[in-house]
Amino acid sequence: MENNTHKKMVLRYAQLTAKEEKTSEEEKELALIEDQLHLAKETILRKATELGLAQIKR
Amino acid sequence: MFHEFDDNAVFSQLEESGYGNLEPAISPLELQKLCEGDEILEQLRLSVIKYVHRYAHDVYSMMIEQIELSEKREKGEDTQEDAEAIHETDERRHNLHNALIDSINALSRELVKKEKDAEWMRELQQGGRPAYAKFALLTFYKLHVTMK
Repeated sequence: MENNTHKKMVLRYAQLTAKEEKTSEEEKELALIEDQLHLAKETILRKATELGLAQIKR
Repeated sequence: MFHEFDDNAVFSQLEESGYGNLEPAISPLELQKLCEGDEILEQLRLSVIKYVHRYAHDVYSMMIEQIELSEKREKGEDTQEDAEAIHETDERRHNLHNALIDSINALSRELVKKEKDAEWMRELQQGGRPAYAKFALLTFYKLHVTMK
């Protein structure tokens, strides 16, 4: 998968997870991203956290 | 963008350790236990959790916008509106960062007042704004991978 596409999916997953209230469509999107990335929630959020920390430092 | 973090060493250690175990200064569970049974502390803790989520949301939103802007630039398709939109997102993130810091400091003051452990605040106070940002992202991560 293209690097930016992969990164955007990871970030989108974290962005949606951070929403205080999610629509049913957003819940479905979260599940879809897990399927597309073939990764568990913890792994996706860990990657997002690493990206976020690196970005903040920049 | 994110200029307040320039030349700050807070994240160097994390990078050098490969981000280590991604532990915040205090775990969400430990913080919850510290505040249990005290209505004011519990309200302040919930306020911290609220701002942790809002801050994380805006950091990740901004990163997505940055990637999309970069892709548009590569194709020569970026517009002034795109630049303005990302500037607005960054301003909102900056304001949320201030609110996050205020909420954490308010909780810390109340913990001290109630003679409870606030030693974990030392890392944040010494590290300044970047340390609060790091705390927020790590707390967000821990909340969603260890607490249901």
